[in-house]
Amino acid sequence: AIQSSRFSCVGFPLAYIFLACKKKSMALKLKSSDNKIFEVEELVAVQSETIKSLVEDGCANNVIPLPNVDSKTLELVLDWCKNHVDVKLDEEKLKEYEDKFIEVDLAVLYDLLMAANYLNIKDLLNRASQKVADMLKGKKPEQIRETFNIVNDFSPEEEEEIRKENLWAFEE
Amino acid sequence: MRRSRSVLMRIVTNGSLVCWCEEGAGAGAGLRLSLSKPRRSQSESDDCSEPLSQPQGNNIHRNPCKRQKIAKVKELPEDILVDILMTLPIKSLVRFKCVCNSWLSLITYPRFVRRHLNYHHHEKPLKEE
Repeated sequence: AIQSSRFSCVGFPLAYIFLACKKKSMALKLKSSDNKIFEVEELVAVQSETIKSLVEDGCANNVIPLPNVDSKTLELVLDWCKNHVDVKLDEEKLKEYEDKFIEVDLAVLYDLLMAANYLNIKDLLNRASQKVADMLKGKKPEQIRETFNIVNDFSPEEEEEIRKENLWAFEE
Repeated sequence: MRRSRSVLMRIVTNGSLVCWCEEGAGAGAGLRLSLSKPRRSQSESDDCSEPLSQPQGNNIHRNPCKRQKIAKVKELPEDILVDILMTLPIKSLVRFKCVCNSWLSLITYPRFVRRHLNYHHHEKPLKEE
């Protein structure tokens, strides 16, 4: 950064080109929890705020270990990031991609949520949350328990009381 | 370690949990900082939240069995669960009060109710089918 500002003072456009090229080709190495190494372009990886701050702090020169993300999930996440690098991509295509991307079962969705949360990728987190919300809305409490494997810890009387208080919500 | 735990219990600030504790009693070997995300009511949210941090060593022994993975879904961190519930229409939310105790307390928590109201005031809510 110091160098580039000095060059800009004397007007040295070649330096810009050089720096730009250098930046574009820089690759980061990410290591998943199952020890697989993924080599990705910095531009792709820095969509994760977590990785971005590592890069900014100069801690991204070696392999970046991601102990909370397995290789399957990381592959998906990186695919998402690759498709979101080019913001000029037309909106319709991007939406099509996102809709297709998020059509996964709950277990994968869970992994994506956890990874997006850990890596701090806001748009992925939002999209995955929205998908889960879409799966939930309109469902009955029994279905929710079944889907999420939640144990009903109400006594029958307690549950009846809550239902009575909110009858309108249970009407079709 | 007993001592450090007592320090940890004491310094629970409202936003985040920060703890300084000395390691190696007496020797003053070094300082350790542990930082964690804000988390509400550990005791009552036993069903829908999970411990502060996942033990990383577990990954090695994790059984990739699908059933186990689905079982994990109920352990979504509370902040993610809150984000998900936030987008739901009020009718679904009220119905989900009787899913389990922790969902009931989460949905009726005043701060959540306020955030939910705010969210649906500013953004296009999901429509009930």
